[in-house]
Amino acid sequence: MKKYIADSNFVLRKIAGEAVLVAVGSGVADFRGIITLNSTAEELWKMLKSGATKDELVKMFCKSFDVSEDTAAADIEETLHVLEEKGLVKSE
Amino acid sequence: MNNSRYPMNGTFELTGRCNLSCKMCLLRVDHSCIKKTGLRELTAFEWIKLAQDLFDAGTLNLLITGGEVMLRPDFTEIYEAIAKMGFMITLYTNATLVTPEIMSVLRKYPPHKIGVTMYGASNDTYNSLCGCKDGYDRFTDGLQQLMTLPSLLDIRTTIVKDNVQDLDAIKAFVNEKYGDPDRLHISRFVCKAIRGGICHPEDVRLTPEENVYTIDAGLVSIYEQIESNEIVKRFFNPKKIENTNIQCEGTYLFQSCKAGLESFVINWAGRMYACELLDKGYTEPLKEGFQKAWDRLPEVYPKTKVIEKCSTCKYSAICETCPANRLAETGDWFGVPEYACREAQLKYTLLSKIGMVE
Repeated sequence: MKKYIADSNFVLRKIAGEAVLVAVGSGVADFRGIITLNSTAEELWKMLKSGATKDELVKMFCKSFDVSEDTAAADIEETLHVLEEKGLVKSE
Repeated sequence: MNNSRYPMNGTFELTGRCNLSCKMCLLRVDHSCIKKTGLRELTAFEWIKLAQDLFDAGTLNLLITGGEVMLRPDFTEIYEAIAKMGFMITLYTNATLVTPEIMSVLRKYPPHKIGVTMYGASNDTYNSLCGCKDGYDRFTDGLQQLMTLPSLLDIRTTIVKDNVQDLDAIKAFVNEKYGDPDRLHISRFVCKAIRGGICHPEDVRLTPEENVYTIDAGLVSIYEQIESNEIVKRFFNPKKIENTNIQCEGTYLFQSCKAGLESFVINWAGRMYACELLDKGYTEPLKEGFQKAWDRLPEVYPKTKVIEKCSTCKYSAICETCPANRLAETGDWFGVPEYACREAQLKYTLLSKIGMVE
């Protein structure tokens, strides 16, 4: 099954209470700004740091947040699509 | 005191030493000067530890500067460790010491921004002003290499008597490289040396009149154009400039510039100041811990006082004074720097002659 992993060229920081991603290394070539994450995206990113399949992500999400499996699956699908498109997440 | 302080912007001044000897440098020190102070430069380990403290405290923006940072043999070690952590990094350098080893690290971990200082448009000027016979060649070589990085890159200069003749050439150089004159930043106020700096900028800086006519040449040009056109002159309605130097007793000294509220500097000896131009007032993050040093920082500065002359001054809205340059120029937190007064008066006169102010 496809495993998704966060690009190590983006570092998760907590700045004035907000979760943000800061590009480092080769990430700077593509993006010199910061990306703010809401609380669910922040949790998702933490899970993606060590890599996870979609099923693992859905399972962990349902555990952490009070959502149904279908809702979690749909949200994760959409978020992964955006993150992959922007080059922040890779799949293997 | 503003209770919403947050250490968003940090500066690491890795060294006060430099390979150039620019006559107008505010803070350059050398080995013998450092020895006399009884202080020492921080080690790489200490800088990396401090960076970790900044990470934990939530600092986002980090400026790495000197002196000349690339003079330190351990620069690549310090830089690489810090660059991995996740700060928005700006690097200041004179670009004359760029080596393949340094470029290798910068390519791996490019800064988000680079500010490169340019002191003249020829080796003669670099020799006269900075004591470096091939300084211009080294600068152009270094700049060429740094421009291959994905970092946003600006040129910074300080215009004094020894390089004023190169100002047009410097502007042309920047325009040629970038097609954008806004990529050149000219220091507005050259004040006296601080924190034991060994140079005498006051001996080489332009007079206030020269400063306005050279740096604010645009203002002068507007004045001259309007003066020569009777029709245009009629359309200007004079505005009254309000005295913005609102003074009250007992408030935080750097409220308007946010120094020490959102920003801090840690100098080459590990002392934390609210601003890099400050000569006095510091805490010691390595001794007392970063958080305590940050928390305590406002306490080491005096509170505001009404400065009689400034509180009634009609030029205050365009005056370039601040507590740091008051201190540097006069030795008094509440002194009145004559240099700034003359400049403000001249700019006001020009503005009033073109009908911009009453």
